[in-house]
Amino acid sequence: MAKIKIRNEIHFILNGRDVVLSSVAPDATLLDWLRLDRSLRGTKEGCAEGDCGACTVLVGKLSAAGLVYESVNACIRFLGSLDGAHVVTVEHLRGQPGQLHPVQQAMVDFHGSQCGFCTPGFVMSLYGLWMRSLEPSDAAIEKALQGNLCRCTGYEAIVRAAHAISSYGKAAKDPLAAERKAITARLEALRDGARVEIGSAEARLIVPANVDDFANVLEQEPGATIVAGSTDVGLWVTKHMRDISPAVFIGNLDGLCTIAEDKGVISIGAGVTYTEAFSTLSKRIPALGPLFDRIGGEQVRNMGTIGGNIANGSPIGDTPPPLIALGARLTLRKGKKRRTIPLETFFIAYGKQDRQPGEFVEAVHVPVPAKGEKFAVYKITKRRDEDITAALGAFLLTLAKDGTVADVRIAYGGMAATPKRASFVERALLGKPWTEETVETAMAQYARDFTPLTDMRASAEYRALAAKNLLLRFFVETSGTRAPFQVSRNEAA
Amino acid sequence: MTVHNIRVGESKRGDASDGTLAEAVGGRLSRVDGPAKITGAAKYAVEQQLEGLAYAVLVESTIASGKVRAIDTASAEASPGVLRVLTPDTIISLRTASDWLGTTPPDKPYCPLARDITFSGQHVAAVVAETFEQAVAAAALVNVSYDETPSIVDLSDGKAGDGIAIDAMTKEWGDAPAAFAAAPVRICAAYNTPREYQAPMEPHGLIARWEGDRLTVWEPSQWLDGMARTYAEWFEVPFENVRLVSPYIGGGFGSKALALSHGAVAASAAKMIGRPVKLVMTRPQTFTGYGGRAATRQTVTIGADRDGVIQSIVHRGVNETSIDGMWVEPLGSVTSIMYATPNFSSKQNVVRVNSVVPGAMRAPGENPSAFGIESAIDELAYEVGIDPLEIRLRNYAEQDPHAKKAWSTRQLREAFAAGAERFGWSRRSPKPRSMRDGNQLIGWGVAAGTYPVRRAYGEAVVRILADGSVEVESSSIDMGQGTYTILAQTAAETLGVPADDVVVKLGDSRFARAGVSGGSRLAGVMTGAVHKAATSALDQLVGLAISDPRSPFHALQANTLVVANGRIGSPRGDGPDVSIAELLKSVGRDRIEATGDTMPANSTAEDRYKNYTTIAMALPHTEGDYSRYSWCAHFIEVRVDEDFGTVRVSRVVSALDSGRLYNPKLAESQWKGGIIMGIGQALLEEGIMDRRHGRIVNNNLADYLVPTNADIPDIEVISVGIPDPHSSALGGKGVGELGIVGVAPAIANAVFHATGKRVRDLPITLEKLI
Repeated sequence: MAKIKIRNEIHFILNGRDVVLSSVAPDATLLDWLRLDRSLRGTKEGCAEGDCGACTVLVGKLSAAGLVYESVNACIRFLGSLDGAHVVTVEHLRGQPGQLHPVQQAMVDFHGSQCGFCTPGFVMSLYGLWMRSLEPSDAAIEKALQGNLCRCTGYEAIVRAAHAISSYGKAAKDPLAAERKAITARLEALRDGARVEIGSAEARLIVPANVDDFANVLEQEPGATIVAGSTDVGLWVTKHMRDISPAVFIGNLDGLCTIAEDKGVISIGAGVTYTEAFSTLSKRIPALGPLFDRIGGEQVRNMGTIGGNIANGSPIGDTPPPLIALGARLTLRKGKKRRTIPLETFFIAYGKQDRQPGEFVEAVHVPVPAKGEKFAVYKITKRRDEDITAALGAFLLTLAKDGTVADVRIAYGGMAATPKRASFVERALLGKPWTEETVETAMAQYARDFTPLTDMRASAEYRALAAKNLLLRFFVETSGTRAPFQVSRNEAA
Repeated sequence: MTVHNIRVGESKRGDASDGTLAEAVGGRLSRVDGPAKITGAAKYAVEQQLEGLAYAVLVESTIASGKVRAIDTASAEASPGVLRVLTPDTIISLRTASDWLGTTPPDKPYCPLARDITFSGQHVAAVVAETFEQAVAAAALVNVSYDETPSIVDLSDGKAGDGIAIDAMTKEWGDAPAAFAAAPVRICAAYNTPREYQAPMEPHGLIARWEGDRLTVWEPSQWLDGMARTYAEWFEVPFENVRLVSPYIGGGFGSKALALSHGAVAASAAKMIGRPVKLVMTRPQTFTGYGGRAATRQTVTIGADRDGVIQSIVHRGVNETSIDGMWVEPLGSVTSIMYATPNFSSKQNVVRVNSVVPGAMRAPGENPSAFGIESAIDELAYEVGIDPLEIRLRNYAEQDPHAKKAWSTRQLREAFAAGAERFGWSRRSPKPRSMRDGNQLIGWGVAAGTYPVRRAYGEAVVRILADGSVEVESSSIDMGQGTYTILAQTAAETLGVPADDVVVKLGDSRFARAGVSGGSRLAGVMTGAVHKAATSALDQLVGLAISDPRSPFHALQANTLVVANGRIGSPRGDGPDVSIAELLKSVGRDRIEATGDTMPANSTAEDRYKNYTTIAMALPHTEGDYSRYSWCAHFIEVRVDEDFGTVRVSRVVSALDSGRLYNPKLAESQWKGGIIMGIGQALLEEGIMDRRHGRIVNNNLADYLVPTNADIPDIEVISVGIPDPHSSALGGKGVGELGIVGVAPAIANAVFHATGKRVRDLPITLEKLI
């Protein structure tokens, strides 16, 4: 294997300027750096944990589709993850000489700002949306604003501003549009195929050159913190003051960010974000579309990875239950050695997964339901958007020609210490006619599968009942007796 | 040094859909501070950049009740960059300050770091370091040991008891218990509201800098003069030596009106190390660094005849307060005035629990009070089989039932009519569970709301400068309501200049004094003061033009002149027509300055100090012959998925009476903001306690759920107000608090209509419905 070049600094572009940093702590956040080091204080800190969106900035990165800008939460985005990226803050927006940018003028005229503290974040989310879509639909606007909280005006004025942006100016005259070619060239020039290593002793960060390099790095540093989207690890730092050194940033690694389908199985690299996976998954497995729309807010989906959602083993992660129901398999890699296991066996107990030191999640393989297989997933939360699951149920059903249950896989989140299959319920359904009576009978088995907890998201009693009702809802929908349950207004699904 | 200047011309004008010129009072001028905010150029208080700034980080108690046994600071002090570790033993001694009524405080020292712990999250120590990261790291090394004692977690704690009777809250007339006992129809129910939090997007924080015995504090503040008074008393320096600067405030909702203990810590630290110190709370600290809305319990009993006419209301209320502080959330405030009743009794207790002292949050008192009475009357409507809107009209209070005075204005009937019409209330199917769309049960609910008109005296300076432009100065603030904008409109209209030519300066206690921006009083107070100052400046200007021998108008011998669009001319248009700048030049003046002061003429300096630094001089809303309130009616549709208990608000129509609106675009936005906060209150918001440790669990914005865009439907607001000359100089009544009052009961009533389930315990979460 060719020797990997090592670089001891990170390179990226901030607004118009090239930035080279040779002294970067593994846990230094983009927000602190912007506000403290660069005195760019238009980007606000409201919560420091990716909930409020006041710190929203855009990060542009080169991908197969060219230069793509996405909104992210600067408060939980680590500087180390920005190598080779273009960071755009609210200060970079400008209109024609003497004028505001169209996004900003629309926000002023439609009274989209009251106290103004959340406003730069909203402006950046709308800017990101406008770059993708000049005439966005209501649903697209809703999605773009999911990760931004406002406590003063509410949102209606901001939504109206979002609809009106294009009446205030042409996208072609936008600074990022005008600079696109030049920025692309500058970012291309930053790609040198090197591994980044910065710091020593207690404060080290590594950005591997590619996935093979990552495998090597992790074998040498089995205790390293793997940071993909940092939507969870970011909170370890900002909330729990945890030491994450050495941190290995894998958010944009060659070989880890691919999504491909082969023989009815979609393989998703561990570095693929929710946003990147959305178009493929929502097209091939439509029921996943509305679910993905309700994972975090747009900024979190732009950063967070499916691999990370699996690897951290949370009992309330939103992707494991549907992937388990779909029969997904997980590839783990240590050095050059790979093993592939059924996804559900990865989750051993609370906080414990089937991952050896030096091993990492490389990809998840998701079978697309065959024709005739019925698949659904439902997420129950107190707040529709940006809320953590109280209970989430996923169902994959195959009926035999005689109407009996030939195969069924049911998995839940929020019902146990891990994402877990409802094995007793499944057994009670197998071979039986798919009728309300069968479903009612099977419900008694839930008590054998799950002993849910009471916490602030829901009581044990609620969870136990909601879990059953989800099966009933799945039955009602698959038997066509009632209208489908709408979890969100969604255009893609 | 940033003093905030806002010039109207920097923003595009608003629209003038009602025919009013956008920049006149009553016009829809766009927020003049909009451009600064949407470009990120607006600098908030703690964003000032100062030489030599050090950073302070708080250490908080991890127990809810007990004593600090010892604080080991050795590791923290040895940590890199640490300048000082403050504990109760090492922090400088302060003097106890007066409260917001100006009550003379006990003559004893005040220590903002606690030895006696009365709630979890209490500040026990602080670390000051060269950088924020160093302070955070060292704060984690401060080792506090405690002697813990049992705590009272909240109102439901068995140890909480019945509390203390607050006699001042008692309101009684007739013989309510007897009339209730005799009534043919009787309703009796208990209504609870949880701890709620203001959750402004900008966390609390400050920068404090000492220069000798002069203190400058950059801090988001709803009340510069009140906070300056507290700092001055703590540090025993003259009031004039304290300067508060607060150019923008990232939301307050009641939480940023008072100087708090973290401010005392930061200012002490600055004094101790001789450098400016910045201290900003983390989001979790904002849940215990000051108080949210107190949890409340109410029992409402209504006796009525079979036609639903109320004979008696008996109301008992309880709110929580802290172990050593006193907060009374006036729970009988709406109960006692919304409906006509010949017999009434309301009493209230407060119960001490191990919590930070609760505080003001949007419509304190009226908000939970309305949840009780507006739910109860809905229950009465179903009991007697009368439409919930009709029963409200049937019991309409033609005068203030408590004060027995005429309403100054009460457009509530008009609000009911306009809201019902727009909402389509007449198409409502009366029976619960009778409206459905697919899986979803649909419910329509109505409730009314009100908020008293809080009035005070105000002060403002208006300057006409040599170039003809105008400056308005006040130490009042703009936390988003639109003070910059409406004061520009007021000055422009009064003086006859374009709003473009007016610069409004706010948020600096060196400017003309101002009382609290709370209780929805600021707009009425400040438009009155600016109007008065501008009128006086105009008189001076016209006086000069008429009488100064150098004036081009001198020969005209006119009694008066007209100023319009920045130009001066005679009323009939004969004679000269000159710009204000030209006139000032001709008479050799570089400025005209006038102070508008609405205090009585014989007021002393002491009166003024009291007026601006306490709330003791506020004018009662029932003073004189009238009772003054804002009013509203909310009509709300909900959709409930019964299998999972999820509730979505799908439609809101609210008609509101805030009197005359100084700027409808701003007022509508505030109303909607209140309604949205009410949706959060009804469905999402509650502080959840860890009962083992007496500690709040959901102290962050992921778990303390405020409404997101998806939770908010189309909201239509209709103004039904008319100018109210008894409420303010320009005819407006309060706006900011009103919108939230009545939203939660309207939603609870709609949920009952949808499901047949009456939820009397907010918020209406999914598990309460299945």
